[in-house]
Amino acid sequence: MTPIIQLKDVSKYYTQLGNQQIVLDNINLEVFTGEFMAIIGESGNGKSTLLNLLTGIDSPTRGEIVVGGALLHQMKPEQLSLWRCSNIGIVFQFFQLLPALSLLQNVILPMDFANKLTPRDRKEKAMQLLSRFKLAELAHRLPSQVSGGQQQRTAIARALANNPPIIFADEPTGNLDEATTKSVFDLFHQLNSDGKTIVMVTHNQALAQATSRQIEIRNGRIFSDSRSLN
Amino acid sequence: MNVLWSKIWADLWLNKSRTWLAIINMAVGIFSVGTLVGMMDLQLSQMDAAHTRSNPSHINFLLRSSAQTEILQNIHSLPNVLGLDAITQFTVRFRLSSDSDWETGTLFIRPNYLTQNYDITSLNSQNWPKQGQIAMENLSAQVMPLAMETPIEFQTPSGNAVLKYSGVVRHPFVKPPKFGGQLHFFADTSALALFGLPTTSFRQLLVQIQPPFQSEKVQNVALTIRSELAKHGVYVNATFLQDPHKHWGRPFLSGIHYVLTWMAISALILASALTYKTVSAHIIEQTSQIGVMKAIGAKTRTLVYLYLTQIFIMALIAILIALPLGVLISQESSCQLLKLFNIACEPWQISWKSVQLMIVSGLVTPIIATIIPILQGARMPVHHALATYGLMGKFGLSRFDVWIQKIGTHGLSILQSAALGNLFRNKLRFILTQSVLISACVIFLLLMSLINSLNLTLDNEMERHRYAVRLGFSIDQPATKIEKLLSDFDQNAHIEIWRRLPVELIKNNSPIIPKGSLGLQLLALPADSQLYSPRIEKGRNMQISDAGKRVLLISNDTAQKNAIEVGDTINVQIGTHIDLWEVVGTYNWLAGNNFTIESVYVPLETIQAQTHQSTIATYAFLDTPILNLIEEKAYLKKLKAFFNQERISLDVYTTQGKREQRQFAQNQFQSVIGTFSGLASLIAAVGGISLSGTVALNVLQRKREIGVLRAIGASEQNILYLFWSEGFFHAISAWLWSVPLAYFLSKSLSIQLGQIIFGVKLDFCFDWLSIIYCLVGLLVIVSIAAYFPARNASKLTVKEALSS
Repeated sequence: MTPIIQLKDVSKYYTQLGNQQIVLDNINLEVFTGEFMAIIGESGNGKSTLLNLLTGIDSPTRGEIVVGGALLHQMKPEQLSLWRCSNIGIVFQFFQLLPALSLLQNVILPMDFANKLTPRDRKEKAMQLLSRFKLAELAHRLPSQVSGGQQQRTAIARALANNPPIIFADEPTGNLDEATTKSVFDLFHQLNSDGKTIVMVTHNQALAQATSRQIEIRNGRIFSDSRSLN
Repeated sequence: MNVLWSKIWADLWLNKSRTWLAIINMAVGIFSVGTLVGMMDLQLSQMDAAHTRSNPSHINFLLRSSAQTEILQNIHSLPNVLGLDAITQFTVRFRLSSDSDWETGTLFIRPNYLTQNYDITSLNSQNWPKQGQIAMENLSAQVMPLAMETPIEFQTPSGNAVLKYSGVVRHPFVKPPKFGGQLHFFADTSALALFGLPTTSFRQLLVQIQPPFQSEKVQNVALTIRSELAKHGVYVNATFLQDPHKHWGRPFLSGIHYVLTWMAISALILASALTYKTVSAHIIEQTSQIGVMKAIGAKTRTLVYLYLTQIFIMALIAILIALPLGVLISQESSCQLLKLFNIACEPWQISWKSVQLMIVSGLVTPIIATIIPILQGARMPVHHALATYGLMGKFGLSRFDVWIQKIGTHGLSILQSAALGNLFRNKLRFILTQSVLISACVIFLLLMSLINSLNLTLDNEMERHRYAVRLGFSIDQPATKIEKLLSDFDQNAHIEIWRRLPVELIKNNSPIIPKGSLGLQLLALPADSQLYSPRIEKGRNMQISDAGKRVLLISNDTAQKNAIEVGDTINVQIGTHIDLWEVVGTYNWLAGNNFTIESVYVPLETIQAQTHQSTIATYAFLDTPILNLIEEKAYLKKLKAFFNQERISLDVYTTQGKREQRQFAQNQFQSVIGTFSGLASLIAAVGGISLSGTVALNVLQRKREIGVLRAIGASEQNILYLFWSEGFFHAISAWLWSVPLAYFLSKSLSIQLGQIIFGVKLDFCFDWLSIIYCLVGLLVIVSIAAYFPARNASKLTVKEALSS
């Protein structure tokens, strides 16, 4: 089976005032379609850098990154933007919805960037996504007019807008209360059941345990890689 | 360096873009104020200095005919007369070679150039004219540059005579050729005989009164001297009174300076608004740091000191940038205007007043402008300062925000909709940016309407001049002779003869004070004149039934100044006759500035009956089909040559074509229009900087948002478009506000500005086309101003943006 995400000897160094700081060191990783993988580890160990490399937000100092067949390490920033638009969805910790746009418009935005469907179809699809996450009635509200959980559900809907096979989430429940965290996490499970591959950075051990695979990053290396039995 | 200074330095250095933005905003204000104030100060001080150097006469009499020098003794002995200078000036015809055409000019002859008393003519280059030589006035030499020793041929009563060009002199009071002035030549007294004039005659009299100078005393002495001259049969064409300490051009500049002062104040306010905007943004960005500092024990006073020191450092840098520029530009621009007054600009003149103002305003204004956001930031509670808001900000909390968002859903793309909403995320910043752009646009629209109204006023005035050419005779001529000559010259021309007479209007036993500082003249024209009708303000124009009646029209300004109403009767002194005349109407006087002789219109038929001189002509007006300025010039040239052949001397100042007259009037307005256009550009530049600053601040404050957009697939082009669109919406919003605002303000302001600047009641006409120009201008400014910060935003990598 071909992995959907493949990292070969990936390292990331930063050089500051002549000193080289190793953030990720010789990472080799394969993620397969349909996996729900949690990246865990303490702050400053390289979790976010790894997620940035996987999403093409950052580039490796060395090594190869292949996501969905795209050779990210060889792509230019403008190509990466286009690629992200159609091939992956990203969910952020602080939701990061555009405050001047309604929930509906926020969901339509990636479809506008991809420029694939007609405007009418984009709106229809965005409404479908919002309905799926029980947000249809709030579609025309601004982000500031809805709760944190509703905002994060909208952010997930936005990530799904162009129907990408992979969803990356950076601490998606880090800013939510317990009850909302559970409902949002359930959504990720639902998506995973629908066949989406999910890669999520989290501090929450309990949530991590509820995923199908957990990798722990320590000192820039993969310290452990385990799969849950359930 | 202590820690606080390290923090100050780090804030300034690590946020270089914003630091420079604040410095540029401050520098724009300092530069604008310094340039405008410096320009005014240098203009006035150099004008007054040049005026004083010429030892100005207090009274300048332009005589209708030559007077004999023997009467000078009588005038000198009149009470309060300190001294006199007699000059001869008359019209001459000259040419540069036998192939070229004859042209007209004015020749001045002073008894001795080395012992001049008043209105001193100074030597600019080469030599004073001696026998067989001629010098040229500085402004004339600029229009007709010649090499020294160039022979210039003049027509004299005894045939043509050649005089050699000896040098360039400066006369303190000549009209520039492009304002309708003639070429001016200067010769010594040997030229009097050459031009057939007695050596004991003069045509202009310069007088100074006994100190102290008092305008009332000057007027009384002028009146006494006019009476003395009249006793000897010498009449005065114009009397010019001048203050020895203030240049005669001051009234011309007072209107411009009035506008410049307001511009300087506006520029300072706008620049302060921009500084406020930048510093507020800085404080907002520093919120979490303020929280941390307060949490670890920083006092409000310490924080105020910290941020005010940053402002102080930025203000100092802004002064260092703006001060030399302001000094340089004010020097250069004042020189341009001084040239109009024939004043050579002294190099490296510095207006210390403007330097002081730049330093004081540069240090004080930014502190006043920023003290509120700094205090607000420094007083912020710790828990509030440490709170994290992600991208949210405060947008969406008001009904207005919701309304704006709803507008965005109609017919706008998502990015456009986002841009529209983003405009209102920082409402104060939006208001400040809008006020700068609206000011720029409104000023532009007002200026264009002012120019349009000026043109309309000139057009309407020309419409009332239904003649093509006006001929003024140096000496009054028999009307029948002139009519016959003109009929011979152009059989198709409609001809009208006018007469001019010196006049005094008396009300309640004292002479009335006219608006025109050069006094009054009586213009007698046919009661049913076909070729001219003044613009009547009150009452009526003259009509055929007025022929033979003692009725007159006076200027509305003079009527108001002297409380004269239509229907009133006033005493009119013509020569030695004093009769009661009825004011049947007042007219609006398009004088342009104060240095004009004001007309009193009366029926020619009445004057003919009263003076028993039915056939005298001072002016002849011709109406003949002439299509353009070139045709007019050719026609006038032929006409002048024709009268020269007939040995009838034409007055150079009053012989003019209608189109030429309009051109000269327009040229006079041109310098003012040029100044205003420069000011409009300055305001537009401030608008551009403001907008650029707003977009740059938006980019700085929304880096994370840019990162998110890039992360979800936005291309560089999308980001560029988003931020450019914000600038675009700013332009559209400013334009939509400016048009109605300018429309409602422009009528009253144009009329007021017309009065202040030109002393003319303008016919108002809103310039509709300028609305389009304004929109195009705003879009151009926006495109340029928003492009660079928008491009910077688009070039941010996702990582840079998300990690900010």
